[in-house]
Amino acid sequence: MKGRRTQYEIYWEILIFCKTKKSFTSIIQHCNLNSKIGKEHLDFLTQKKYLSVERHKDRSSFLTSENAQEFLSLFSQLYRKLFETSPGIK
Amino acid sequence: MTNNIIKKINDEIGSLTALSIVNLIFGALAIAIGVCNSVKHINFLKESVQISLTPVIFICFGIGLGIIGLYWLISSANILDFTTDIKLERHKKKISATDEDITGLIVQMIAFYRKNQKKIRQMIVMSMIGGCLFLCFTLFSAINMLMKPSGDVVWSQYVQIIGLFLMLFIGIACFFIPRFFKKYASIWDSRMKETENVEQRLMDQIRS
Repeated sequence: MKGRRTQYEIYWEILIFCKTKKSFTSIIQHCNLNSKIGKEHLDFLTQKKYLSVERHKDRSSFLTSENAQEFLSLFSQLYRKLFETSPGIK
Repeated sequence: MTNNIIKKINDEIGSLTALSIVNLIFGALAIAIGVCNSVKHINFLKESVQISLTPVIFICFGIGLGIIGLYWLISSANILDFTTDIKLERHKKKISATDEDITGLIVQMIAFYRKNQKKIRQMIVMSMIGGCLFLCFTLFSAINMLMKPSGDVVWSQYVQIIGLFLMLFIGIACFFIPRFFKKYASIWDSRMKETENVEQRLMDQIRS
């Protein structure tokens, strides 16, 4: 995604992407993050239990948990409201 | 409700695409007219024995137009690149636009505006400066044409007059284009202000 995103927009993107199991590399590639920032976000979401981690040997995969649903629906609702309430260009 | 949002997104992307294409054309014209006139008057200056002020003024106007045109062109291409990406994405997901896809598009548009907010404001100012330069250039060329008739054949004078009208048209258009950008910017500014509340609510939710 191009442009400047807030941390909540990045969290949303990660959580949506991880609806199916994803590796760390694929997440940072998809969300256009560097590994340091990507690790910080993933650690935060894991700590919040929004993401569950599965470890196989030396590789980890991430999956969005049920706990994230509340955040995802609130995010979607608030962002859609931004477009619903504002006047259009035309 | 979803259809309403999709319609709004499509309208905004459509308007922005049309606006960036018009700007792209005007930017290219500004460069062409600026460079053409500068080169013509540099050659004139090289050949003349006495240095007169008129060609120097034309060269300055030409260089100014060229620089503004270049900036204009690059900024418009940047906006066009974004709108094309969104359009392609929308086209791919036309049949199955889920709630997630729509939210994703909104996030993408917000991120784009957040990044290009300054550039869009600069384009408004640049467009007006470009308009002033075009109008001054037209006026100066018209005075020059009246004071020093070239003695060329009649059709050549007609071409010069058409050129003047073209520059006049672009000059006036340069004052109308920023209106659309201003409207776009004001809508987005209110949305950006609203995102501050959204962020607060998300922060409250995530910390609870």
